[in-house]
Amino acid sequence: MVEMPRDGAVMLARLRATRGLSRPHDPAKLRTLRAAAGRAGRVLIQTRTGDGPGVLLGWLEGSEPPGGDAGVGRRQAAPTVLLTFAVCLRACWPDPTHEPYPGAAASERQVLAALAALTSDVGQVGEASRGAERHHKGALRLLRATGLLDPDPECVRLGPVVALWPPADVACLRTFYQQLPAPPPEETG
Amino acid sequence: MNVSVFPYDLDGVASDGGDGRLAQQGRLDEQPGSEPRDDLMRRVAAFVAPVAADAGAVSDDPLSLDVADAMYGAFGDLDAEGGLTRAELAAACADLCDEAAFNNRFHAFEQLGMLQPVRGKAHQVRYVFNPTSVAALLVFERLAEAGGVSEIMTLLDRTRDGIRSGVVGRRQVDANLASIRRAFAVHADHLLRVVRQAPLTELLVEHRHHRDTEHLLTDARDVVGLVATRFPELAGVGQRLVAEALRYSSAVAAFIDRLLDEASARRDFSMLDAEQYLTAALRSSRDDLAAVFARTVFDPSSLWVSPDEVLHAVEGVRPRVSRFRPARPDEHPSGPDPIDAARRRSEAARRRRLRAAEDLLQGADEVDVTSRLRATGWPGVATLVASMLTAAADGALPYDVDLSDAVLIDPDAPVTHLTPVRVRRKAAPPARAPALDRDEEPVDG
Repeated sequence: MVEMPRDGAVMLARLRATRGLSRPHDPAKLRTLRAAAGRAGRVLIQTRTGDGPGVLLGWLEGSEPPGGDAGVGRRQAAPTVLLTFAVCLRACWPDPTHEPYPGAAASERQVLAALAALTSDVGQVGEASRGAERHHKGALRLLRATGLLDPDPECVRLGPVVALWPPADVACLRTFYQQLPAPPPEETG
Repeated sequence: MNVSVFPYDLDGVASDGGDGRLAQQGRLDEQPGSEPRDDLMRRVAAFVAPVAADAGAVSDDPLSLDVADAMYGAFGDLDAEGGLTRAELAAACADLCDEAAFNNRFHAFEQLGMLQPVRGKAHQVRYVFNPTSVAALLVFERLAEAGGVSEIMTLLDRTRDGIRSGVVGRRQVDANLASIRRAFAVHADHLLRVVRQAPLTELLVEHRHHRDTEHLLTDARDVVGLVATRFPELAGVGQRLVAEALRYSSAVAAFIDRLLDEASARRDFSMLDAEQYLTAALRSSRDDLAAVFARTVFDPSSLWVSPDEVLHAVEGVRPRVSRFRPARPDEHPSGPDPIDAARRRSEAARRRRLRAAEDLLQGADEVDVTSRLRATGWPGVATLVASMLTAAADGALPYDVDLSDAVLIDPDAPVTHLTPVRVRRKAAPPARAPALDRDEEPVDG
C-alpha cells in the first residue's frame, strides 16, 4: 500500500483513487483523514491486508450512492463475471469460519480450470475452448479493475471491495458456502 | 480555449471559498446580460458627468431610473396620443414608490423636460414623453448590457456606412477615427487597471462589457481598410487606430486570464456564461477539454455484486450432460461372451431333445411310448412328455408326436391318468447326430 500524504483532502483523494492505503501510524493523521472522509459522506474502515494494517473507504449510513429508480445506474455484472467471481471467492476463501478478506491467494490456472469444468461441454476442444477461456480471463481483468479482486496479475486474491461487504452479506455467503464451485487442487511440479 | 477550472473540491462539494461571497454576489439570479442596479447608476453618473452641474446632479437611487422606465412604459403601452394625466402616471408607478417619492421624481422630470405639459382643457393638464429622453433610456439600457464598448461598434458601423454611401467627408472620417481610437485607448487602460487592481466583484461587472472583442477588432480592420482605399492620406490615422484596437484586445485577453485564474482558484462555474461553455465544448480539442478535469479525483470504476447474484449465477450453471454417444471401446470386454453362451445353451438343449427322441425311437421310424411313460413314473413322465412336445415343435428336429384321445386311468400307479403317445420320425434321420460337448453346461428344463 502507498504512504499517506499529510493534507486531509489529498489523503482522501489518494484513498479514493487507490481504494486502500496503509493505516497512518500518526493518530493525528488518522483523525485528519477520518474528518475529511466524513465531510464527503465516507467512513474509514480499518482492515488487515497482506502488507499490514490498512484503511479502506466505505459510505456513511445514508450517504450511499442511490440505486434502483433514483436515476443513478449501477454497473451490473454479467453472468460470466459473476460465475468467475464465485470461483475466485471459493478459491481465495478456504475457511468460511474466517472473514473472506484478505483470504488466501490462488493461482489463475486453478481458477480457469474450475471455470472450464463448470462451463465446458464434454469433448469441447480447440477454438471453442479457447474462446471460453478468453471470456474468463476478461472477467478476471474486470474484477481486478473494479476492486473485487486484488490488481496483482500474478495471482488471484480477493480485492478491497470484499472487505466492505456488510456482515449480512458475508453471513449469507457463509451459509451457502458449499454451493460455491470449488477449484481443482493445484497440480504440483 | 484553455480552461483549467477545478470545479469541485476533493469532497465533491462546490466551493465558494468558505465565506459565501460568491453566493452573495447573486449573479445567477440576475437577468443574463444585465448588471446590478447600483453599478448601472454609477455608470449613468459617469455617462452624464460631462454635462453635470455638480456632483449631486445625478441621483444615486436606482428608483429614479425605475420610475422613468415605468412612465416610458405607460406612454408606450397606453393609448397616450393626447398625453397622460399626472394621476394616470401615478397609477403606473404605484407599485414602485409611494406618493411622496413619485411627486419628487415627477417634479424633477417636469423641470428637466422629460415630461412636457400639453393643455387640452383649461382645467386639465396632460403630459407627453420627450423623445430625447427615450433615447437616453435606450442608451442607459445599452450601458447596462454592454457598457461603452457598444458605442465604439456603433461609431465604427456609422463610419463604414458613411464612407460607403459617400455622405461623410475626409474631416468627419478623420474625427471619427480619432474618436474611436481614443475610446479603444480608454477602455484598454481601464481594463489593464482592472486586471492589476480590481477585486473580483469589479471583474465580474466588467466581464459583461467585453464579450465581442473579435467582432470589434474585425470591424476596426474593415473600416481602416476602407479608409485607406477612399482616403489614403488617413492611412496613418487608421494604423494608429488598429494599434490601439490590438492593445485593447490584448487587455481583454489579460482580463480573461485573470478571470479564469480567479475562477480556477474559487472553483466557480458561474464566472463564464453558458454560451462560453457551449463554445468551448464545441470548438475545443479533446486535450483541452480533458485538461478541465486533469486535477479532478474520481473514484475508480466499481461493479455492483451482491451475494444473491453470485449464488444465482452458480445455480444457473450445472455441468452439462454429454450430447454424444460415447465411442465403442476398441477391445471386447474380458470374460465369456453372453450371446455366444446363450447360443451354445440353446444348441445343447436341442441336442438333448434330439438325444431323448432317438432314445425313445431306438432306430425305428415310429414307436408307442405309452408303456415307457408309465414306467418312468412321476414326475419323470412330465419332463419326458414336455421334451417330446418341444422336439416336435422345433422345426429343426424331424419328429412328430401323436397324442391319443383316450385316457388310461390306474388309481394305484404312480401316474394315475395317462394319454397314449406315439413318437414318429418325419423324414430320414440326420446322417450324423450333433456331437455332444463334454463340458456342456447344465440346462434347466
